[in-house]
Amino acid sequence: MEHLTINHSTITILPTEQFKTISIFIVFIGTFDRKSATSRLLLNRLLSSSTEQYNTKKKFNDKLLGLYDAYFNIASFAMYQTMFTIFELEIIDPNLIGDPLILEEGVAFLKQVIMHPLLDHQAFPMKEFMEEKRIIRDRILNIYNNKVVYSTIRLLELIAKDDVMTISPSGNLEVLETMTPEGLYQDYQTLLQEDARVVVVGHVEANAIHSLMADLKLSFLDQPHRYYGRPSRAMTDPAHVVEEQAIQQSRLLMGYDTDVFYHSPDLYAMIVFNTMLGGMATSSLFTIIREQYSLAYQIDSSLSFEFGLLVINGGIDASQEETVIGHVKDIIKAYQQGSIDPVLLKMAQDNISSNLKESLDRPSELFQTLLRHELLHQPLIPEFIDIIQAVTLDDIKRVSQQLSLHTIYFLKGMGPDYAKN
Amino acid sequence: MQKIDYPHIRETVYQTTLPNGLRVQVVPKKGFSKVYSTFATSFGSFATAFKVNGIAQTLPFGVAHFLEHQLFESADGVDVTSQFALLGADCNAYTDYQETAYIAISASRHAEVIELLLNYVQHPQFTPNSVREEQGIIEQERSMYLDRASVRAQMGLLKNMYAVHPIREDIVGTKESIQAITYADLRQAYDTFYHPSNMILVIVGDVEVNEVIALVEANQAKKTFLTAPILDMMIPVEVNEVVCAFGEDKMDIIMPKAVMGIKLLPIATFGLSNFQVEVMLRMILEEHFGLSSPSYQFMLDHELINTHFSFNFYLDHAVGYIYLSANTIKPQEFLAYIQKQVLLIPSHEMDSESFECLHRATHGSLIKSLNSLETIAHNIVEYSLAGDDFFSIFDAIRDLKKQDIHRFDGAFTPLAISQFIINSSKQ
Repeated sequence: MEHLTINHSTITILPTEQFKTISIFIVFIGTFDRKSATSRLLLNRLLSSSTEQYNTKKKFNDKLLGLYDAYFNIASFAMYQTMFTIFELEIIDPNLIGDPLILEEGVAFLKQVIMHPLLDHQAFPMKEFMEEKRIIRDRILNIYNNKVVYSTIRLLELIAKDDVMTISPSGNLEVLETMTPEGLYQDYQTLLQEDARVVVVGHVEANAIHSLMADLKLSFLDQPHRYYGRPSRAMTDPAHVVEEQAIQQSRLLMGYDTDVFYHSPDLYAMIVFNTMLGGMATSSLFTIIREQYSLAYQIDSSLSFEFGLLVINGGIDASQEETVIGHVKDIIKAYQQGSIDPVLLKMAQDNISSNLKESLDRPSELFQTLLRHELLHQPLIPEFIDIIQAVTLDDIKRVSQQLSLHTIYFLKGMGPDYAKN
Repeated sequence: MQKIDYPHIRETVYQTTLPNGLRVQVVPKKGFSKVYSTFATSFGSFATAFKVNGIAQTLPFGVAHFLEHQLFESADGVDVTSQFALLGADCNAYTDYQETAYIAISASRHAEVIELLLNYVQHPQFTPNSVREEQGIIEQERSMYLDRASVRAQMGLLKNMYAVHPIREDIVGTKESIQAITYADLRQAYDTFYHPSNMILVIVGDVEVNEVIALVEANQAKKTFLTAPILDMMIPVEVNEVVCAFGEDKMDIIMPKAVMGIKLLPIATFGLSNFQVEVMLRMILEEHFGLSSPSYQFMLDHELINTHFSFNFYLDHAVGYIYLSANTIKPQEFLAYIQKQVLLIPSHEMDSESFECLHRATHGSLIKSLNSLETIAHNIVEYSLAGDDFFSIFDAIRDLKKQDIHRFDGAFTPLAISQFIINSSKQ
């Protein structure tokens, strides 16, 4: 790994011939709130469809096709109140196609996107703006079609109505309607001022990258980063909300408070516990609810360290709601009472270690690992594996006892004819 | 063992066929952490009518998929998934139209993992009891899929396009067929299609080739198999016309789903290699409906599509179709527009610049796919079981000519087109 500095920004280079591609990631780190969640979605779409030079979708995409189908994407994701906006360009290794200029062309394209968007004075052009706004609107409406995503959003809304965690990364219709081409230009200016980092993965020389990116103007704010987790929630009695839809399969979601966040000492034990509970094919939920009782095809658990939550998510038959809830509660109670299988613990530790190693096989995951290392001070893979392997049965019992059921959300499948009646 | 170098893409493939007929391919990938091992049989959802040693047999819909579930059963204590987990490995499986594949993913102890993969697939332990228990799980799986508008639309479309071919039926089977599948059906399917001569083992990752091949040879030499059955698939012949040009249904969704299918003739009718047909179809669809196409911009300008617009195709030796799909508030207008554009394809002349650009992009896209061990393994399995060598696709691309596009002109006729809409039940 090599580190360079350009205009005070750091560029991290991972030279490797393992991949057929060279991947360039530029991440901007800003603030996530109800407004920026939606405006950044719109901005990302506008920036990734045209530039001053490639001023139509066709010209923009033709350029990518001409670069041997280079992949370009801008995406944002949030960690509580912090938003990461990632520009990713993946181009083919020039050595594989005998075209040494492709890297230079790719970097020039990336710089064009960041520094020279298609503008109409100090605003985005109205036609393109309205087109992308309509697309985002359609996407927000479309969430209802996907019952897994819809039910997850509903659970979060029920758990914390006015919290940042209920802001959908898919955007908000009311906020979207207030956006203007001029306002979005201001957001673009904000983006350029955000703390930025560059990571390059592939068969490249540091000097070549340095000279190609020397004129890229990025901001580097060498200051402590924001807190990535919510304050503790007040404890309340668990809520149980049932909604009905004309679907075949019901969705059962159980949200548990964990009080474990990115910087909590119990972070790693909680990762292992979640994997044992519902994070792998030999997990307790899968083994008991699917294999032993044939009550579900899919049932799992997942963690959110931004929100201090563990969510159990399953697709079940409507008539089995109480039965499955009972089994889930019994499974968790067994952990809390110390009835924990050491073989399952070892399986979970090995499963996590194996997945961590796999992240070394994908450029985007390598980048994510480096980002989390720098910003969240998460260990790099070998150290991460050591910590996971050191988790004990007592650790698992302790973190399981921190679980507190907050809300059950049941999207009840009433059968496909229900809405027609 | 045969070694084949592909220096222009920095890949080497080792392949051999064992005395029992099992084909083995190894693709060493230096520097990668994981090893993907895939053990697959040429037995998918299409295999519902066939001859074994000249005697006609049938199976209910969904048997291949049901059998895939049942091979994970273990009668002697620790289930298969746990056995992999104890080795620190993951396992998975999938059933497709033409094949069923069992996958092991390891970061260490590769030899033990490969042995386990071979042993569990070749030593089925399901029972009449386990078959009954599995029916509930598969019914839940089917329900999960049926709540997806994309799945319902595709299923409705294929039923309207095909009269007799098993592509009309869902891979998991129907509610009735799942309930009707018996232990005897699964045993019959296993005995017929899981002979080593009908299977392939593909290993992709940072492995020592000689050690892996020796391990597989020794493993197979210890086992005895019945004589390989002579299989003759009875695939119904379809005419090029669809059964029904339009269909619709309703679901509890907000944004309607509109899909269009174009029924294709069998791959051989195009007079090109299988790879060339695939690449050409990709290029034609990209030119007419890709992000750079005038159609794409027209559909955006007229609010016919959003980000949920896609196109793809399936094609094998007997059956095929092109599939275009959108989540749209204007489903009828969307379908009318793309049908018009599809019918214009034969009269359109692709210019040399577009051909070069798409040719280059297709080449680049395929090279990039070699970053993924999973994609390599999947492609080798799929193409090998169909009698092709995946890595030859790079030669096939190089030899393509612009004028070959006209070989597809006859495919785009009104009688081959069907449309299907999933409307919102809220309206």
